[in-house]
Amino acid sequence: MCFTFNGRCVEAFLGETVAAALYAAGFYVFRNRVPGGEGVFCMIGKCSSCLVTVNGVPNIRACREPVRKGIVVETGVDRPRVPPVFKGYLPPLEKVKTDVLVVGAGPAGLSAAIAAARAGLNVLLVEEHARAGGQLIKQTHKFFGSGKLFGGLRGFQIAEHLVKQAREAGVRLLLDASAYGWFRGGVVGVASRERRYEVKYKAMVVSTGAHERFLVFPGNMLPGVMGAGAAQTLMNEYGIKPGEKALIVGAGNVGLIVAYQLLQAGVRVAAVLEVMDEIGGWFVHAAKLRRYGVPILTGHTIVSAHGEGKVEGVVIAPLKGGLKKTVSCDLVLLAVGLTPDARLLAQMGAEMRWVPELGGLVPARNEYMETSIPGVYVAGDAGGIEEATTAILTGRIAGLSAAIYVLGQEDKLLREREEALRALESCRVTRFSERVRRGHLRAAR
Amino acid sequence: MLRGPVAVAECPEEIPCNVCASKCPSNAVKVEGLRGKPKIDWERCTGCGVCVGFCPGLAFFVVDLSKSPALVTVPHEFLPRPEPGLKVSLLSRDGKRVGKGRVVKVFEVNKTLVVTVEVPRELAMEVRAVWVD
Repeated sequence: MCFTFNGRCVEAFLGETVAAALYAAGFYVFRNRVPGGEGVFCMIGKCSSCLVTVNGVPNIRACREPVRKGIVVETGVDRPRVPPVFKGYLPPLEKVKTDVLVVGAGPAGLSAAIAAARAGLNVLLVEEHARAGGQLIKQTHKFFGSGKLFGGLRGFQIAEHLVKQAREAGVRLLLDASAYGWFRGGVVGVASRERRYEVKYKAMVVSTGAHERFLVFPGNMLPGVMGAGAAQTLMNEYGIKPGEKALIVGAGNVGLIVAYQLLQAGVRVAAVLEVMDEIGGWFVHAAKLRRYGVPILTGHTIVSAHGEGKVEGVVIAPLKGGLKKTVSCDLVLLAVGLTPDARLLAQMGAEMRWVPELGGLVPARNEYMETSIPGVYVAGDAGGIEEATTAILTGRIAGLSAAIYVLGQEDKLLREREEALRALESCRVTRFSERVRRGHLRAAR
Repeated sequence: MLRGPVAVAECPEEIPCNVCASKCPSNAVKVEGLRGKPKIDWERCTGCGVCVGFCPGLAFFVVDLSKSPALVTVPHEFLPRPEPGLKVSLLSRDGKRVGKGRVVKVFEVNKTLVVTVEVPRELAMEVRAVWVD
């Protein structure tokens, strides 16, 4: 099918987003906010780098907008006018009542929804993307863990399992819909493309994930500088080669894993830079890269990126003095950590705390994942950055807690929650865990 | 290793993972709790290579020094797929091309190829990857 971008015809596949189709067609500038324009950064609807105008409506996230035949897409402009189409137009409203509302269908949200639905409750799971599974759907590597659970499965396979379990448990899954705010009377506003919903719930789980951190250096707004996860979205979700030669900033597990996936996609990896003296991620992930000759430069940082219209190279430097070096590349991936996204809870008035060990601003909660608002729970990275297994377990705990809040202290639910708490403890035993545990103590209420 | 193929684990950190132990058909790999490092019982291990395909860290290999040239089995997740008979580049742990070797066997575990390749004996403890040029 075809749509137009600034008057030019762009070929696209059904199921692609506007951002993916444009990138595949070689269009890298999405928004004119800075001189030279901006490219994509997060590719998951969390940032504002890819805001374009679609059929005259400004500020549309290209990374969430599905391609449709004949739509008219234009480069996003800075501070657009309110389009006349909005005047007096409101999509139809549906009032929904549910026992448990879960916001965000990543590993945490799916697990929470499954736990609550299996307890016999009516569960509505709202997800702003067109597919459920969160960031698992673009994880093509195999996950660590117990061989009896999901250990050894690839991330997207874990997502498939969870989605299947949620459907079997009777969870109502509302895709392509955003929970945009909480309103008087305990109502959450949800908007899909065609419909508005006012959701009244008895208990709620917020599992809205995290977003990738940006890094400050000259040239960081050049198209081609993006989050490591954005490259994963392009290549692993849409089968689009994100570049020819990449430089990765950050040798934590995300940086190491994405570097390996780039090699698999046929992208050369110039180097993985790490500002610390030691590689942050697991030895085995680093060893995988080293076998294929990718240099991992510890004690190095990025100084600047340069290029005309798209990144063409970067300057890197050792931290402890020494010569700067220019590296040619058309892709710079930032893998410098994640920040929890719990803005919905903040808007609801939940007590928030700044906890660096958990990645930033997180809701205060007790060990059952209950926030300062009774009956409202947090799960997964929205409560502090960890990984998929712990997200699944905090999700299960939050879902069971929500069920206990609605149904009362049923023995079976209490027992299952204790089991999940023990499983969570047994996962928090790595060299990353001490910091996380400290963070959880600081966030505890 | 001198008597026949056995698994070798290069998994030096305590990762909460026991996939190797739970998938070993000979019950030859033990992981204490969920986080212990894998311990391989070479009396039980048959060198079948199932662990090479299952290990999420791609940290298992099989080495067989009973033959000449030696045989090394490595995980491989790249296209094109190496087929038996094909000569491939042998890569050391730090990515150096240290020679060429003939592929003798390939099987697949959840999209990971388990590739057995002929390796000069003196390189059997160096070669940990292959590349189809």
